Amino acid sequence: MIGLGSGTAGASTGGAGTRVPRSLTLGSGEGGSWRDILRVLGYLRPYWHLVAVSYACWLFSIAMDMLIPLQIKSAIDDGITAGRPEVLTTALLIATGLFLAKAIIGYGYYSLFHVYEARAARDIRKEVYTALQRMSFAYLDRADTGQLIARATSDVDAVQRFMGHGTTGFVVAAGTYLITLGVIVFLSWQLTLLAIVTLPLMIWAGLSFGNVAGPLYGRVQQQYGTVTGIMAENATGVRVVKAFAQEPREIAKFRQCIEELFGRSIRLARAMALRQPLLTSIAGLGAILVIWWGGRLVLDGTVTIGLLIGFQIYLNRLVGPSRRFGWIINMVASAGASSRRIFEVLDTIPEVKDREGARELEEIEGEVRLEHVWFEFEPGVPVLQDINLVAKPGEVIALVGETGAGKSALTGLIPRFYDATRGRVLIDGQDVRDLTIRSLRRHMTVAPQDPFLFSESVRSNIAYGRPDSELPDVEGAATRAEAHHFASRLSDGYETQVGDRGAMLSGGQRQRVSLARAILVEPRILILDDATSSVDMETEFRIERALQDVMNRKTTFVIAHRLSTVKRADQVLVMERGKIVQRGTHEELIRQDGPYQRIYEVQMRDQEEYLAARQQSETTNGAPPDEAAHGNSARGDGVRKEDG
Amino acid sequence: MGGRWMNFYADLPDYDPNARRLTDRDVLSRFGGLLYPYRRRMVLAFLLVMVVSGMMMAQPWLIQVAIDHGIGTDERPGSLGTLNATALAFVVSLIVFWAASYAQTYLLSWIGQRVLLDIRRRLFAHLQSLSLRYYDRTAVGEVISRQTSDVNALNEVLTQGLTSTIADFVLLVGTIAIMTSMSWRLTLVTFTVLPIMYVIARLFARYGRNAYRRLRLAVADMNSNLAENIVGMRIVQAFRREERNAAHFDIVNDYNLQATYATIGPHAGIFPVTDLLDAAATVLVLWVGGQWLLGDAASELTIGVLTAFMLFITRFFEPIRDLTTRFDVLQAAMAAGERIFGLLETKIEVADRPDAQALPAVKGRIEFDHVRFGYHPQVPVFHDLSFTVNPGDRFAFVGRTGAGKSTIIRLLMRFYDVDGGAVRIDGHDVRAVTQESLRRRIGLVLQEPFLFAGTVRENIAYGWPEATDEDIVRASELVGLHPFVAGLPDGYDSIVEERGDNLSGGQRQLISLARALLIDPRIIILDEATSSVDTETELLIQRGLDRLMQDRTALIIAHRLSTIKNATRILVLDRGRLVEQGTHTELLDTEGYYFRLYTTGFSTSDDEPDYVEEPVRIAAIG
Repeated sequence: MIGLGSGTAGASTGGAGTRVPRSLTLGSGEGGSWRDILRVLGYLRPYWHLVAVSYACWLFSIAMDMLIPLQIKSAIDDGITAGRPEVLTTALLIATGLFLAKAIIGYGYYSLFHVYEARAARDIRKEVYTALQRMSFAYLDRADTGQLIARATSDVDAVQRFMGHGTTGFVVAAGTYLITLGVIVFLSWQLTLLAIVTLPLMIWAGLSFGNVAGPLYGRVQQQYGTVTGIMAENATGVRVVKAFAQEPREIAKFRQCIEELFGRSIRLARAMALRQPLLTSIAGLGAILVIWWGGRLVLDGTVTIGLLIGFQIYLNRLVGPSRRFGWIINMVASAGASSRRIFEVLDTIPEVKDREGARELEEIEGEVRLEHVWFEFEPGVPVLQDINLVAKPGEVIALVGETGAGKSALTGLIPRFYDATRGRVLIDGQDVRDLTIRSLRRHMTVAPQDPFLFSESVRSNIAYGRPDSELPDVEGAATRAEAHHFASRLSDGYETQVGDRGAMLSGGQRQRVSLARAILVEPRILILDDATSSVDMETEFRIERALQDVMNRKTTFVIAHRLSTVKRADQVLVMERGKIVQRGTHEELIRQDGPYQRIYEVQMRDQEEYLAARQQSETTNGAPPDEAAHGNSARGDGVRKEDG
Repeated sequence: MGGRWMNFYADLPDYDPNARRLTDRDVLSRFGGLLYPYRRRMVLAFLLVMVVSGMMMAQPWLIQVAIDHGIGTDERPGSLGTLNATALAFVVSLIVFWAASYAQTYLLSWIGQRVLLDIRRRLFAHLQSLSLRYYDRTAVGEVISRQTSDVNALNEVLTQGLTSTIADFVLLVGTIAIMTSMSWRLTLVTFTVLPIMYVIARLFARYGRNAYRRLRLAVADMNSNLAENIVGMRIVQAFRREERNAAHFDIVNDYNLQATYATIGPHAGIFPVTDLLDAAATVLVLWVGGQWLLGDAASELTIGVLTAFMLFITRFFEPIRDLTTRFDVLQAAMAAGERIFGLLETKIEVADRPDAQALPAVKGRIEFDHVRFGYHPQVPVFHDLSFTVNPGDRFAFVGRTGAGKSTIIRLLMRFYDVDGGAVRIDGHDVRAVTQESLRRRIGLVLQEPFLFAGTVRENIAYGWPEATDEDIVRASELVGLHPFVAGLPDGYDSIVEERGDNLSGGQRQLISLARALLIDPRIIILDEATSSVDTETELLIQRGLDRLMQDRTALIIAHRLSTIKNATRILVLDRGRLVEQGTHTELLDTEGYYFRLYTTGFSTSDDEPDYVEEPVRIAAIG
């Protein structure tokens, strides 16, 4: 029962709850394959003409690169050595022209790959965005939001750099190699043989560089994720850290983590420091071999000195590409991993989607019927079991039960946030799965417990479901949700920006804005999922009163913990572990022996009995019982005056 | 449409009014201060850079020697021995180059990583000691990004920039020296293109910086749009905003593309331009040098010298090109440094006094003595608040949101300092004792218990990491948590996910009760949850709480009437004033605020509530 310490615990998975491990939804993204690389390159297809022009520019500049040394060679051999100044001038003028052409074309080449990689990245981002919009709630529940964000942002960035910089870098390096090889073979095959003696060594060094740096890079990134996690946790939980005076320990823990990050970074740095100059050195070795052996050939008279120098200049061009190969290998590896992570998202088939031939849901009365509904997130672990209920148009249905009993899952089936595993959900007698999702959701809105506000104004948040609403309508909805009073007093009133996720507002204020947002849509079916949990009792009371007339015209589902909210419902459903264990009105349920009665005992009984007793004594002798009993009304009056 | 998101950033208030504005000189001197501890290593690295650069420059020279003296010309035949010797020397220089490069890169990376570690450590420690006032003002995302993206901007400069910039400068100076020694006249010829280079680089830098600035804003805007929509995807779907939001994202996405286009010009242009200048210098040198050779104007000049000199021209432009392209990164690092050092120098508002004593064992008497306090000086929460809690008393605070209930707790824990009056525990002013000792005497149970990623055991032992297993089990048994933990597959070693996501609200609450109980505090502070606690575990928690509060002084921000009823005393707060106090029965008898709240749910008879809103970004409790 008691382990030996936290060290061994790291290997075990979360033991509590029925939650699906997050890794099931999102893989680690490791091991991107060549297929992923090819697939990601497919995004360049619409821009094939840009790619083609870009490579044409490159080939042109290669041609320039090949021609320029010939001019230089001629300037030296035919101009200087032969003592002909006019040849020198002509050769150099031609060289200048070639240089100029190369610069202009080079600009085209450099800028074009930036353009097409940026366009392809935009397309991928758009696809990821649309794919995420189709995801069912079950997927969003399981997936780690941070991971999804990373995949839509930094992974796309990595792929973007690969598509332009990486591919061009590779093609250019490989092309430069091949073309230079061709030219030097043409110039002197003997010298070429000398030059490529070091080639296998170079390839070996480059590959080993990629092989070693890739995993080390991954380890650094992983540790960096851990460090970021600690920062985030401490920024969020700073109040608890301070309350328990644990700052020194948190600092020590963080220190340990960044020391590990340092260690991993330094291992990567050492691997790079060892291999990067190696590539340069090997290239240098090739150069000196050519000079050394070539020098002998010059001495023999087999080769001219101009040829040797020209050859040397060509070889010099191989230094850059050799050094870049290591970097490219690294980039291909990371782009492979990133594209794997992106495709994981793109390839997820939405669990909830429109059926072939789905109908539009036209105007409805608002009857909701659940017939033998079963629902499970994970096969074999039912969240809802055999749920049956009928909500007539205009009725208020209250759902009561502990966290995890299935209340939110049940209401989530109505707008098809989730699909039932078995059984049917019917709106006005029509199976929700036969209807288009958009038309279905037009008739219902949800005010969740944890309201999400967008970093826009209060007004656009309230008008989120009806962006074209007039201000009076927005204010009307806000008034009923008890949000008007504070909203109108904010610095810019309804135009006040609420900040990131509504950070400028308190939890209760956010809930009220979210409630106003739901009311404004004027749906036939309204789902209040513990929508007032963060507002104080009194405000909740006011909201309830204001919502009375709204709820009378709609079918309303209310999830609540305070029984005062539940009291007036037409039907109260008590849920336990995915089943409805009690149903009836408040009055019926408090008389039944069961969970509802127990909650009632804790929450309301004293108050109600006090009220009942007071009412009774008022009718009998006209004075409240306690006041009569204690007889200290004078003091109470005093306080009341002060309060008023 | 284009201006919208630009203005959005412009309108955002400065994130921290307390942060100092730093000049470039300040930032540079602080960078210097960070590097100072590693000065010996820096000197060593500098020497190694010299060796590396020396080797790089020796190579063309060796080739020149090989050609001129090894191979020679018709008039001056070379010798095979010299050729062999120079080739050997070249190979040796390659090996030395490799070894020195390795040592230098490693050393500079080491220093860079170490400095990063220092910055991270100092930032983290500083953030830990900043008062909650700072966290009220600053969004969590802001705090995180200061530690991540700003430090990362330095990372690039420190790890690669430091190495390359030093190497580039040494290389540049060395190359110029060698070029001058070979032929000062040809060197001067080379220099003629430098003024053009300078003008062009400045133009690119200015245009480029603006373009990059716009791009960074566009990227930030696009990424936050993405993040927001991913986090809020349920609402997006529930309100059928998919198409509309996708259309908006298209705009942001395209704007980002346009901003990227704007950077391509300067970015892609700088390479061909430097190439061109490189070429111009080469052609000029060759032409002028060729004329001299032909005209025999300079006897010092040989073909070998000219050839080697041409190689040096390329080497001369390489560091210049590098330095130009690195200009952006350097600018970003300066900006990041400004923000990081600004944060590091933010004043710590709540700090231990130099003569602060540890709070001795206390009985638990709490005294608020004419306390005056406001989150903003002009908006006071308390004008003059006084009350005394005797050891063992159970006080319940009742009132609307913003009445000041949570503020009382924040002042007692000294998350904030009072503006006037005093808060005392057993007669000790909370400002006269160390924060650490003060908070060790107080057990805090939050409305929304915050759990850390780790095991159940670690979370219970959070306030007392040295606790033995027996202590932990005892605390856990007392609050009624033990049966639940014992039922977990890994018991106390079960993993709690980030923020306890894999536990129910009730389970999290029980863990936080055990955590508070374990440190055996004399004072318990309880911010009661308004809801969301499971009805089934509710009684369990109630029992746990009773155990926890037994024989201790307890302050409760109460939302449940059942809790309030059992309090020794109920304090009713309204807009920072104590309007009523007494026991449940007494208060009902007075028929005042409490009476109305209890019987009707309304505290005032008029329908218009008068909110004293809390300061922005106050979480459940401070």
